[in-house]
Amino acid sequence: MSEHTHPDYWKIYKWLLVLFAVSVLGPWLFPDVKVIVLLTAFGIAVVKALLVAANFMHLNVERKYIWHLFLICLVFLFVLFAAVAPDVLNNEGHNWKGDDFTGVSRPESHHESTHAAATTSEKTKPTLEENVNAPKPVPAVEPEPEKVPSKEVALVVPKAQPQKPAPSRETTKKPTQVDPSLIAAGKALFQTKICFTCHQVDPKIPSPAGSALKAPGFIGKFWGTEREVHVGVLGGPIEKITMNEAYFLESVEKPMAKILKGSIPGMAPLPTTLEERKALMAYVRSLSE
Amino acid sequence: MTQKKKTGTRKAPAGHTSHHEESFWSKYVFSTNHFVIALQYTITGVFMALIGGYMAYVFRMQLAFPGEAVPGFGIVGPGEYNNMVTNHGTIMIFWVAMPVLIAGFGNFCIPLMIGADDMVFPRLNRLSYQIFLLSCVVIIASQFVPGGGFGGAWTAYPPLSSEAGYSLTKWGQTLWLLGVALEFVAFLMGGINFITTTMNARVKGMKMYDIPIVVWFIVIASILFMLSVGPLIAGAVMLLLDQFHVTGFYNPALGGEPLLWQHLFWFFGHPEVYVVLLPAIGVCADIIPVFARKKLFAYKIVLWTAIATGALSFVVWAHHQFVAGIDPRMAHIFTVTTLLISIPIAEMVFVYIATLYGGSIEFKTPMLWALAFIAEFLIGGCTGIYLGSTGTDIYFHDTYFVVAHFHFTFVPISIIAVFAGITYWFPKASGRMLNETLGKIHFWGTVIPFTFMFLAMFPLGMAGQHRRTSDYTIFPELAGWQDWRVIITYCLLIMIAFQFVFFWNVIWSLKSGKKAEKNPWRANTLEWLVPNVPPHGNFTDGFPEVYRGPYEYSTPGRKEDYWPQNVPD
Amino acid sequence: MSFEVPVATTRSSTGIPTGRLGMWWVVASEVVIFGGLIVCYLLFRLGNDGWGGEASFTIVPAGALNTFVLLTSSYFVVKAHKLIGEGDREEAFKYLWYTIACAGIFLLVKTYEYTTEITEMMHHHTNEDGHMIGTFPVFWGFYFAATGLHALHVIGGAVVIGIVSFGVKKGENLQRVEYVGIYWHFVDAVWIFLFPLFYIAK
Repeated sequence: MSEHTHPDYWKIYKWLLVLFAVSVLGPWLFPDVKVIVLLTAFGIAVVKALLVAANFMHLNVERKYIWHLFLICLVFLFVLFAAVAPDVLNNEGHNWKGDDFTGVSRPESHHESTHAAATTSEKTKPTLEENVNAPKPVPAVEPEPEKVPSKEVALVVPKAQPQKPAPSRETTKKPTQVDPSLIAAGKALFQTKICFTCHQVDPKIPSPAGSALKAPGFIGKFWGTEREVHVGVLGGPIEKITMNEAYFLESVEKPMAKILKGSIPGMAPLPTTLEERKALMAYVRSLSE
Repeated sequence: MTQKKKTGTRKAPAGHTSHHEESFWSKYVFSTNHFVIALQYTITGVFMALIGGYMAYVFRMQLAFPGEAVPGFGIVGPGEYNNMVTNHGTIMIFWVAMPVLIAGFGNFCIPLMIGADDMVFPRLNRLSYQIFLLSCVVIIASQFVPGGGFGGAWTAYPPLSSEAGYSLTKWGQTLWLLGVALEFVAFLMGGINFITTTMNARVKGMKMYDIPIVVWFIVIASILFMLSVGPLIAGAVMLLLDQFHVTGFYNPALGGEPLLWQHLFWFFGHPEVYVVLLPAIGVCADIIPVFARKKLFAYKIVLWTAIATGALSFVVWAHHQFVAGIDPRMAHIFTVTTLLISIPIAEMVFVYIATLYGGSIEFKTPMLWALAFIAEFLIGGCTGIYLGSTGTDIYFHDTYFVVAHFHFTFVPISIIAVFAGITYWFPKASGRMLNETLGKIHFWGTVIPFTFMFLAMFPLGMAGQHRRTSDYTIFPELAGWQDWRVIITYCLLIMIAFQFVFFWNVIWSLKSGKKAEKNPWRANTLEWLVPNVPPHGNFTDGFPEVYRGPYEYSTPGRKEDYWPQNVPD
Repeated sequence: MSFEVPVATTRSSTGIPTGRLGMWWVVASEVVIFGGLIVCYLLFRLGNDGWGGEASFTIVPAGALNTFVLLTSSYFVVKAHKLIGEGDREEAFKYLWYTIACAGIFLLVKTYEYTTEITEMMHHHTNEDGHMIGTFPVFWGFYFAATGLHALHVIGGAVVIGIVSFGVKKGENLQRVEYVGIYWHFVDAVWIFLFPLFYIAK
């Protein structure tokens, strides 16, 4: 195996250069004819690679099973592509429509064929401004993958917000006498009791589990507003209640007592003391406008 | 068939004349000798197993006694719990199963069993261990950086693994990824060595079908690893760039796709389980004929089913993603292929049982371990069918049913088969026999608690107990099962306690064990020809020549009930 | 203390010399690594028409020059292999160093490209901590990942060719010229595919 006749390497090299020239000229001369671009750019790439493999790497005189080895590699790569393509190439589904999103918008583009890109850039441009400050992605493993992350509304969980903020009998003024250390304690508890996983408090940071369960967020003006709840169990009688102290304290202690209309029951009755519930309430209330 | 003109002068091969002084460092630390490297890999792997086992102890104590401080650790909050679970899984697969089964057994067995004096690329071998050792340091270091170790599960799905704001372990997530990447590089290098050595360095007369099954299976495992890890290495580079917020490959807000990581990970992840299964089942294939004194029932079938399993393993991966929102048509296809892959593996088990049938079985410790492998793996394999079928998987996914299933497969692989191999080759590697009584005590003390422990998890999973949760007493519908969790934890403690018997056995036997003869098990394969504690160059009395396959036991017409490969008639 | 080559390395049950067989397996593992990256790129590219816009910003003349340089370097290294077969070690040594020179030119051109592209293509925005960070759109992520990984392999390959050349000078292990050539041809073949994927197809 150590001795073998060498093919004419210089001739092969010249052919490689010719093919290379064609592969550059083809797309340059006919940029809009897709077939020519594909044939010259990629078809020729395949031919060049085969020339290099067969002649320079001496695969044409090597044992056959080295070819088989590479063939197997390519087959597996093709399997990977074929099986992943239905997921990644999908741009819309039953409940969502994707954005032709490249990740950035550019004011001008050099090429004719990027005219499409320019229009999509414009489409995404205004939403990108909002997105610019919120690079946090929407999690993928949700029942309904929301593929339009650039709209700010997707990051918030709005479905549980009440439709009409009716004036309530309770005072809705921000409690100015509340002890700031109580609010701070409540804020810490909000993390350690993992409330944040469902209840969104920051428009920029989504709560993945909460959006799946359609949990109410604590954003904007929510304290003192009216909402409809099922009493006892999902599907139970509907009652109109106010988001107030009593309701909040009961919800934390017994989350299954009242289920917000439109939400899926899923809040775990984590053990809390009365002091902890009061601290949480002070914190949550302080978030309301 | 050596090199001819083109090589110019070549350094003189070993075993020829020039002796050279070897210092402690060159002999034991920076050695290129396959036996030393095998010991290095095995000892490192066992050490990492202690760390992985400790992590299991910590999170099982939390599960059994939620909120109470764990002796030897402290309070286990949700973050610590996730960290322990993640690193337990990662370490056990990448730093215990692979190094011991592939690199440890591979480095020890392959040159000896094919009649070679070393691996074909000894310096690459040494480099692979050094990179592996570095990866151990990195993954352990990830526990001690600000923020603590990564807690996003060994599957590391983004955005949990790419956003420090979610994982809360900014440095841990990067070190975890780097540790895994370095381990991949080490095993790519090792794999090249194993494959090339087995293909090329066989002694005269050893044809393809005369190679012992364990050697074949380590080679096939290396090929599987090599072909499947490529896309994940690409994906890991992409994840690393995402972690530094330079790119958004998995970030929809920047044009990326999180589901892609899942596909890349499992495209590797599923062949990976066969990467660790094959060496383990191969060890059993070599032990069972020896202790049944009977020829392996169907060598070629075993070999070709392994190759079929390997090939099929590349088209089953999305059964890990049935509920991730993949295209349902893909789910149909993957259900079919997943159920198909159970066939060749079942075939292998049938061959082993057929080998036992009519055999003259000796219940020595290695045989006990090999038999336990078959029994326990059978449970693991059968329960996999419920997970491979989309319908039932929709319920079982992410429950303890899955945990029980993969422990009934992984523990036989990484613990039972490892002990089988260690107890079998211990005489050759050390020159001493292990104590049989202690070995049997260790065996029963491991297998019984293990079986109870994970059998109990099947009903827990069916009851709806989800994975990766640190405290189930807060869920009213699951709190009633708390007694079961306590029993499971006690089983683990018992199992851990019995491992001391093994370490005591090894230490005592090394010092005062019965001196072993060259071939105490009366086996056929070539490694039993070399002196115990194989010297540098292995076959110092000359290389043997091979005349037949390795499984000629109880051949009719022969006086002896075994027929070593190197004996002409 | 010199390293002793084991007998195992000199055997060849398959008929292929051990070093070359090992190199083929190295190339196979690299094919799936780069192949995986390219598959991911294709998945994104084919799914999003808007990417053409980003691709228009790659510097085609630089890419074309690099393709020419790598093709030529492949020719040089296989010529060195032929010269070894003819026994001409001095010429072979020179051609190995021409190959390394081509690698150097390739890396210089890539450096020029990177310095312009990294600054211009980065998209600056403030993140949630209020810091200004720069991220790249996904096309550029793939571009830097693929060409960067490739460039690392070019550097590694050049270093190994250098080491092999010193062996050639001493007249030792001449078979390694062929083996390192196989690796180098693979590196060239990868670029043959990266060039149309990132530069030409707009």
